[in-house]
Amino acid sequence: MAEVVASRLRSWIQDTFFVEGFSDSDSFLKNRLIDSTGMMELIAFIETGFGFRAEDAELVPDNLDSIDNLVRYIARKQGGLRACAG
Amino acid sequence: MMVALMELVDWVGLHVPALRRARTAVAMARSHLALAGCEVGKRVLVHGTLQLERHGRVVVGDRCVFVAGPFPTAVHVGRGGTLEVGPRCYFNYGAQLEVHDSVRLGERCMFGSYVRVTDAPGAPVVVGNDVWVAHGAVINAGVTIGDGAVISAGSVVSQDVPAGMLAMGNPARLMSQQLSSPGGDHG
Repeated sequence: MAEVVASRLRSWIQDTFFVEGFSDSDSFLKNRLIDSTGMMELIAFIETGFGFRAEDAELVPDNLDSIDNLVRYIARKQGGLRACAG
Repeated sequence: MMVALMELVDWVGLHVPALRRARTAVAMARSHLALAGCEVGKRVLVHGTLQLERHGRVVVGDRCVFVAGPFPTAVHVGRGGTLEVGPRCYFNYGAQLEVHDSVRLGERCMFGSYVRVTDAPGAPVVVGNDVWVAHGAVINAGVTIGDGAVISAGSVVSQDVPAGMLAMGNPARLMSQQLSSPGGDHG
């Protein structure tokens, strides 16, 4: 599951920002892969693509600044959604 | 004739470093003309045109700067309205401040070109200290912005922004300033 999410994120980031050659743990910001405006696009993508609303307090580098961080964040949010639904 | 002379000294002072003090003197003189009837602090500089329509109270703190550019900065304060600008605020050209009730801007704030700040009766605007409002951003009525916040270029802010946060987009969303570029580029 995590691999599928990571692969989907990687494809979208490569297609949207025309970047490649980065690892799942690389910081988007430190490596200048995505700028602040790109972050807004990324947030919009994960909200529409993975079906949850990101709260303001969650919009921090620990959740968004690498594919690894994103995979963990998305899993946590989707786990929360499933728990609510169940 | 007097205005033309001031324009000439301003232009020469911009291009000849030795005449920078003359340019500053012109900007200070222009502040007395442009902000006539306002409570103006020390060493306020008005470069270029500042259009003021004042029917209320206007307070401009020490060492505020209004920058010249292709469009004038426009300030409208309606009857009974109060505009308070803290010390050392910096306004790029084309900024628009429209006050009907109360707009209070803190110290050392920076307002980019074409920024618009507007309140409404019963919905004042409060901006804290050290706030940066980037090019073209709009701050709507009733909004409070905390100290050190950054409003990204072109954002439309209709909700309060806590201290130290980054607001971005239309409608603006709040996020950590750490999510801006490493070089501090907020667009």
